[in-house]
Amino acid sequence: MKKQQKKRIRSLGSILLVLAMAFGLTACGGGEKTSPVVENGGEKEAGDTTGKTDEPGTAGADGNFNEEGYPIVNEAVTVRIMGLKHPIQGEWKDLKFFQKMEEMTGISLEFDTPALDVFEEKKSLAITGDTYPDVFFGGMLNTNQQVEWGMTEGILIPLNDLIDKYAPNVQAMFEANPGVKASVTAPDGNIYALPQINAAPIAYTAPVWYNGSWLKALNVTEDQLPKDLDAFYDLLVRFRKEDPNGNGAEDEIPLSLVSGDILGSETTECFILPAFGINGSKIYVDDNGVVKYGAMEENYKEYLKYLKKLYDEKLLDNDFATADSVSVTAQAKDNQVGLTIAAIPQNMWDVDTEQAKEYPIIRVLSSEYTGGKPVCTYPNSPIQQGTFAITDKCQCPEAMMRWVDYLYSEEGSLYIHYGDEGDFWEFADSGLRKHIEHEGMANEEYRGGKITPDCGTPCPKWVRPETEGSWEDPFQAIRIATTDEQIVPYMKEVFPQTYFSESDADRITVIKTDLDKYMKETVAGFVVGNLDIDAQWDEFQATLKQMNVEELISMYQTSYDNWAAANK
Amino acid sequence: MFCQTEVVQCPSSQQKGGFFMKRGKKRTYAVRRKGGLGRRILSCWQLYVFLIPTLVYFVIFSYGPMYGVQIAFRDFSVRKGIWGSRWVGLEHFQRFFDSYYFSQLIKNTLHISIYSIIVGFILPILLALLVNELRNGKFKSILQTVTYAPYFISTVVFCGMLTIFLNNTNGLFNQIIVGLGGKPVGFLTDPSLFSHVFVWSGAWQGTGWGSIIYIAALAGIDEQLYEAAKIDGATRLQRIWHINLPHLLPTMITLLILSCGSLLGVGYEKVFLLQNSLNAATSEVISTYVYKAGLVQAQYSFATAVGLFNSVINFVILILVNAVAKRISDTSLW
Repeated sequence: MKKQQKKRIRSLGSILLVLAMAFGLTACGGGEKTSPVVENGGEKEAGDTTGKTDEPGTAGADGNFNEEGYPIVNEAVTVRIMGLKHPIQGEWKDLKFFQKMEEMTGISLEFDTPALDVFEEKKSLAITGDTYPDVFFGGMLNTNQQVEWGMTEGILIPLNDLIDKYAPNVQAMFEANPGVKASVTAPDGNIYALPQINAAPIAYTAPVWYNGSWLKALNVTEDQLPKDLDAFYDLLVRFRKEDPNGNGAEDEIPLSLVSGDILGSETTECFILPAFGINGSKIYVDDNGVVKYGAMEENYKEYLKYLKKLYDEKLLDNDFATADSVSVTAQAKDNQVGLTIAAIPQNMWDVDTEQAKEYPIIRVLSSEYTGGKPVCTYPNSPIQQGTFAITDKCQCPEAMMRWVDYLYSEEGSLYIHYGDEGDFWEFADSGLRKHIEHEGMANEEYRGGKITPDCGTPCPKWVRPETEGSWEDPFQAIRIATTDEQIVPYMKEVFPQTYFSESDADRITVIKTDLDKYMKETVAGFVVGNLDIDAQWDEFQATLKQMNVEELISMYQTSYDNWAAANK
Repeated sequence: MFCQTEVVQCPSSQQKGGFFMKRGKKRTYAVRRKGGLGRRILSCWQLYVFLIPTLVYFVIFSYGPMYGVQIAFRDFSVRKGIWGSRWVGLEHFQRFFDSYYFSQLIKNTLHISIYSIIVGFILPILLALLVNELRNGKFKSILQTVTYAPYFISTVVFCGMLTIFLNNTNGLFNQIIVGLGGKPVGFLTDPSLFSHVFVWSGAWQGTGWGSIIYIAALAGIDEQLYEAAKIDGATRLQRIWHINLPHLLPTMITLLILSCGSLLGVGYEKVFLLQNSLNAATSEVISTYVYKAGLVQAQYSFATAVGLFNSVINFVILILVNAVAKRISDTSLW
């Protein structure tokens, strides 16, 4: 009996050993496998093209395409689009925006919508695997991708002629916003992708908020908010030491970054660093049009020391490296956070709109390094690159240009953001818009979940500055007013949107692969004290040079000069 | 089952299958047979039919995609495709060798993987020997279940748990340390601790599972040997040393060779999920670097070159270790 059992165990052991070896083998083979996603995409694509050949000559020739009025096409046309889907959004095919556009234009869409964290990967794979869509909508095509996939590969088609012929609203946008056309025109003079223009400052400045309940507990009024680095430090110390959340424990996190990366944090990059007279940790352009690398400036050392002081005294979140938006939001809801970035305070802290009015936006800081002048930068550009592009697979580029042109009209740009009157919003007695509440859903959840992709995904549109103020939202009104008053007069652009020649773009990718990694790790190391700022500063500078940072600066300078010339 | 495969009528199947273990010279008698290869195959075709799915699998999924390796030597352009892209020779390898991170990547990869091979090799053997000595059947099975269980937690969940437990201020371990009057330890933010966190959390997860094979091998030892040893007055440790370990040796060596084959192939997911900007100095390994450069930044040729370099080194190490093992202990993979 016992012997039999042993035998059984022994053979089980052999099977396991064989299995282990087999797994060893498959693991080796694993890296070489082509992703199943591509294969699926391939099949789908094949299906689609056969579908399309059933309705030949969709555009122009047979009179299906209308140059004016709606519908744009008389017989239904199917276009495949690819775009970034934010987690808050519902399935794109169920969104009212797309359904309405199909009804109006006669163009029906098929969607491929990878999520944010895999989007760049999926996009590259689609291009590589030849399964790319007819149109990129909300496709986040950066300038390098436009040059590579447009200028070099010919996958994205030039839009200039189409814009001239079929897109009066896009033309109007270029006229109303000088500099935009230079920023979306590739070095060969072609436009490969249309941008989103958001002319309202609150759309591209960084909204960093103070915890209003803490200010109240410490008797700090809005006028007393810190306006220089020393006062800022003092307030953070008070946040930490004086128990503003009133729970008796020293658990306050005065400054939270919501990012595992100091260089990626708007609070440090856009408000603290500029007060040291440096407009960016990496590449930036100074007032005289000279391109510089922030970390190579002498004051950058002082900046690092300032952050280290904040970190050592636990004024800066000591867990920033492992924190993410989920953990920070949880801490803010527990009233442990004093200062952080959020679209609106309600997203972070446990407050309603009325209470949120007490949560003021950060004031621009100054210091002796700026000669007492307050300076800040903004993390986003009013120009959002690459929101719409047409590929060479598209059978009806004219129709799609007319389709997208609607979104640059005032009506269209409102529509893509807010949807129909009576659904998400209605006119209040004041003539301003107001939200319609939907049970069990926050406003943004409803907007993204039911109405539009323009809730997390950068979509093609031209938002007029006055649009943001057209709401009967006291909080929004305050935010616009304080931003206009407190931020806008002092803000500077870090670096405009420019293009690089392909060889420069390649070289920049090579340099940045290691340089960005080095910067991210080293700056974090300096701040937490894994590296010594004074002792290792020279080594840091030498390594930056060794990584060809000077070559990088000169390439950016060339690109900036071209842009500046085109802008004149 | 091992003994059975060895006396199988068709020795050539062992060569094809590749990974069957042979023990010294015992096998050679079976090879000496008359007739050509074709006749030998024909005479036991049924066995070859069983081999087909495996062969097809490897041809399709392992050998097939290898033609793509050539983009390591080309300047891969999406539009021109793999065959149409320009040849650039060793440019991408050159760039990798000249990279600031080259030595750091190699060092980190070797450090983490040698460390985990050693720990992951010794602990399961110790656990197996321990379990084997247990007399109480119930306790034994509970112990085994408890040690296996962590293996079934998925890597993503496991890393999420680690990040929460090891958090600097709120994490379980640091709460305990601070509670006992110590200073919080930056398990995931101090670069010098990353390899320990990685390896010992791996040991917690994998030791039980890794010991199964050894426990099975120990169960196969003839009871008579123990009885004889007891009569001769051998102590428990002497019995382990002179009976158990020699019996485990072939299994140990096979598993060691296999793990050495992936010396530069540290598991990508776990490192990636535990990585942050502060520990990157010791946690960046070749596979995470390939992911970032290749898939995230779309530098396919460069990433392929790095990956190819990695595979070639692994291959060479596997052959070397195998040859050494063959010479020293008469046990090898082929």
